[in-house]
Amino acid sequence: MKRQKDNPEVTVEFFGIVRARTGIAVKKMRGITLGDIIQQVSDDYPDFARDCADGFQLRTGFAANMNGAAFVTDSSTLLAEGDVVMLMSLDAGG
Amino acid sequence: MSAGTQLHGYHGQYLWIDVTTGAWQFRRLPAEVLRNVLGGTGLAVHLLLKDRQSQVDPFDSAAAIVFSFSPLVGSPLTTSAKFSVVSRSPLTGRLNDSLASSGFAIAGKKVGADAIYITGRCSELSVLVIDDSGVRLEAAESLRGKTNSETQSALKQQFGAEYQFATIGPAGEMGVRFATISHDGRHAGRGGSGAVLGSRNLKAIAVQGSHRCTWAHPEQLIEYARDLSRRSFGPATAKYRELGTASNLLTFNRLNVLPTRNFQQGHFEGAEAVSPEAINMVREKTRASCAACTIGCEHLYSIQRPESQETVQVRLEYENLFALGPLCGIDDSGTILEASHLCDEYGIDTISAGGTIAFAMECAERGFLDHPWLRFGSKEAILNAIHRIIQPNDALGRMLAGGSRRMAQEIGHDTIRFAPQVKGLEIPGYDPRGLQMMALGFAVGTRGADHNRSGAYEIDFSEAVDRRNASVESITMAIETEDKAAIMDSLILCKFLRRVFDNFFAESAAMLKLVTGWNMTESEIRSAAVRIITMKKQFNIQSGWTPEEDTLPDRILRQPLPEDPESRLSSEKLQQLITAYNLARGWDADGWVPGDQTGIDAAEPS
Repeated sequence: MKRQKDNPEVTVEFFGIVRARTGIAVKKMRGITLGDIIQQVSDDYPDFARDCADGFQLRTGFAANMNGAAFVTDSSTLLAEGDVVMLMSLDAGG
Repeated sequence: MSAGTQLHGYHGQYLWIDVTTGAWQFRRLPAEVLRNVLGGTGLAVHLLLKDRQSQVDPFDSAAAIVFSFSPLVGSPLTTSAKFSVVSRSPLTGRLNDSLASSGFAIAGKKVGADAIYITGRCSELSVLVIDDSGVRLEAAESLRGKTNSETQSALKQQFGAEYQFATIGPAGEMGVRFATISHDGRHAGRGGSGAVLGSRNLKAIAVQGSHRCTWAHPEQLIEYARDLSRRSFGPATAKYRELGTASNLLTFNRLNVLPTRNFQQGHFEGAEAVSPEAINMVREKTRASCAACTIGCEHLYSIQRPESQETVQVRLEYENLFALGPLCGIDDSGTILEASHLCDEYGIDTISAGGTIAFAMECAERGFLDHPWLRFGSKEAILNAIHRIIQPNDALGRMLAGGSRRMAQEIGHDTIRFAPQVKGLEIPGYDPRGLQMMALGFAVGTRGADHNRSGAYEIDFSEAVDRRNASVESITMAIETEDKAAIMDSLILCKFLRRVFDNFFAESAAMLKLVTGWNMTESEIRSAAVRIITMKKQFNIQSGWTPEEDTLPDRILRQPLPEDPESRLSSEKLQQLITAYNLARGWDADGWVPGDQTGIDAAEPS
């Protein structure tokens, strides 16, 4: 249901540990909420599910950024067609 | 050497040395002082304030430089093998506290002192040797001009494996105002502490000792340390362990906050090519860690030196990658690694080197500097510029060696408006326009633009604020990151542990209790943080600080990021944030500290 073709299509970009766990940099996905996307990535990439997410929620230390603007962690955040969802580690430093 | 106190975790004394005369003595540190300032940076600032070092030119023979250890050094707590180097900065004229890691911290504390306070000037280039037989100076003329690795290798051969060394490269000898102090490939990097040591005619400090501190609750401490190590292996540190800090590059680039071509842009078209993800595909990599560290954040890449064809290992961090790469328009990883290697060997701070060279490149491109070869993106230019920083008779090199603020003052033409610095310290790789809590941290930082004394970028990278339009309601969160940093720099612990703790201040109190036996509360640890930050501010006030210094370059305050026009920060907006910050700190609106909050007791023994 979450991947239904009438759901908004978004571009998901992967950075840092999230990219390391999935092995991909960018992917087109469909979902109604941020949680739908996280759950699908978890289903498709077990290493991501193990280290970065807890079901449809990101673990502490990880965040999603919507369209290069706001950071969100709320899984119920609604997606719109064409959104860009960036999944990343929160830590900076160095 | 005699130590001997009833304290746990501390020796209860510091080692005072005058290298002019060779005189030295242990001076007592009362328990109440240690409890107030903890150790590390807090302790060093206390000692410098007590001697009114804030008013002494850092190159004057009367100036002091303090190597300060901490109650946790030598304990089994992961990442605790760190030391702080504190003095007045020759780059900023304000307080400079830099930290480095590993064996020097452990061996240095074992000389029987919680800090080593050095003043005076040697009559010839020397090595300061501190060991169980006392303190002495040995001639080091044969080391003049040697790089850091050459110096450390020669000293190891001369003194043996039981000694640990802090060294300067040619840059420190020559007074480059952003020269570093190095130990085993790690650097107390920012603010020019290497030049301060060089001005004492000290090429190196060698330490060896056998004085261990006791722990108040050793069995529980070992158990706690085991648990902390276990937690440090988890996902909270995976990024550092697996990818290193350089993995910030593509994230920052995507968010348009990767400073590029001297902060003219926030996005670098060549970022993918120099990202660690790309470098990993083509270069051999190894990992390393500091002594007593379970995180292992260091990622070393092999390069072949252009002239000697020798293969060497180069540490790549986000900051040297950004500063010697996108900031100078360089999209070639080999050039960035070679530039990093040169900085490490010459003993130069990579952030200030990159910032100053990027500034010079823009000045040359705009016709303010008659060096047409200095062009953004030129591999030859960045390497040539680094070489020239340590050439004694090179006019451009002498300008670069003063940092971007001095260079702008020399060039004129109002170039100061795009010199990438705060208080003279070059800005790290976080564009303040798109990270506005970090902008505040840079502006009010006591040592200038700094990402290790304020961790406010953590707030920007969260849903707590709009990073492109920060509000005064978020000030307390930015302050909390500064307070955490003050404790981490005084206890001392690595900042990469910060997400491992559920309640950092409470766990700090717990760790301190296991080591020292003190029943300090979370609230007392928080108070210590505020005290240390206020002491640092008071050092700056005594050294001539004025509120006008707490600002950002004109470019940052007038030009939005071209790739993201919503990332704009006006001077009025920044001033609102600064005023709110000052008031929240309990200072006046301009940032003056009411009364004497140095905590210096005139009756304290010296």
